[in-house]
Amino acid sequence: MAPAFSFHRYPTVEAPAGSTGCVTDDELVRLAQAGDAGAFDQLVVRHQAAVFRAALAALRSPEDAEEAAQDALVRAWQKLGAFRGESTFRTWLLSIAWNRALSRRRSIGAWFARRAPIEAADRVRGDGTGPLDALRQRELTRHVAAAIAGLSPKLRDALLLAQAGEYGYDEISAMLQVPVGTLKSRVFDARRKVKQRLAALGYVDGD
Amino acid sequence: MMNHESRDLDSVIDEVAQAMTRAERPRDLRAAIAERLEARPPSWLSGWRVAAASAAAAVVLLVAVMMRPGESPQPAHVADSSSPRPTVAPAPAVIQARAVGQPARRAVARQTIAPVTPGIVEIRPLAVVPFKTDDELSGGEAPSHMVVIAPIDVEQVRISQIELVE
Repeated sequence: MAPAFSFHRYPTVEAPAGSTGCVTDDELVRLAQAGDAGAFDQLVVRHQAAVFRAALAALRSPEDAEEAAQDALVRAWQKLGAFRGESTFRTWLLSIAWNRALSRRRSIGAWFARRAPIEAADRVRGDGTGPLDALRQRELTRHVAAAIAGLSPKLRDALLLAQAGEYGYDEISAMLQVPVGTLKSRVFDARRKVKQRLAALGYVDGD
Repeated sequence: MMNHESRDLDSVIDEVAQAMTRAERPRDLRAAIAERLEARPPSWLSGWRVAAASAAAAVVLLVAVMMRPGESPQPAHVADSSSPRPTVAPAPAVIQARAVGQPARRAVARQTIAPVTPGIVEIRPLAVVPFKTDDELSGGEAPSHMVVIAPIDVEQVRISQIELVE
């Protein structure tokens, strides 16, 4: 029977803390595939934030995102033997994370659709030029957040992942399983539709 | 009516979209993952270990079988390199030569194989028939071991004998 999992049961080569930065993901993956849980531990440390943000883009709830991120990392460890290196480990992991998040989102269903994105809008900092401007800014950001939340999932996912600042287009393309050109088109369409909704609310271009 | 330049709206959209994927840095997930994996080791890892153990057991079993005394299999006979190599025996002259131009049925050469002796099966190499030109052959009678191929017989046909079939 295989031993129970523990990150510290199979220590990697003794090395001072912080020195694993020079070890590539590929090397860590090879060690992890040989059963070195410590190597997988390092991979988790490197990529857990990116996995979490991808899940958050899909779920917009930190609690749900953390659950999905855990699912993804557990899944990655279990499927690591099947990883053949056709893509980078990070891209492979993000694809798993995105799929787990989508699966969770489907199970959440209508409840998710009713969630108000106000909390996210409140995190946007205003210009701070004055109380009135700050109030207007806050109102605008709430409208923008609502408009983004009202987009179709395809457009919203593309926009949120593209604006997360964490991923390249190639990584998002792998996650969403669409060509890069399609992805860029979706981001453009998402912006256009958000602006249309803002225009309907009275936010028009000043020129 | 509130006027905002398009550039401003774009920046607001960017900021809001970024905020929607931003959260407090998540807590370290390693402890939770280790807890969840504690009960479920990866299937590929256990399978790999089972396969390795099976392979090792198979090797041990094979070695044990081969090392059993008195039951070693009869080794295949290998010709001693010090013994003289078998000489090349001339092929039996069963191929009968015939005169050039005479139609005759071609004799089929058949090589008999000596009875098999237990142990070594010796295969005689084929003899190589030297090539001679037609000029050489026309100078004299063909040697008995030469094969002369007769020209193809062509039967003459008169055109008047041909019937027209419609």
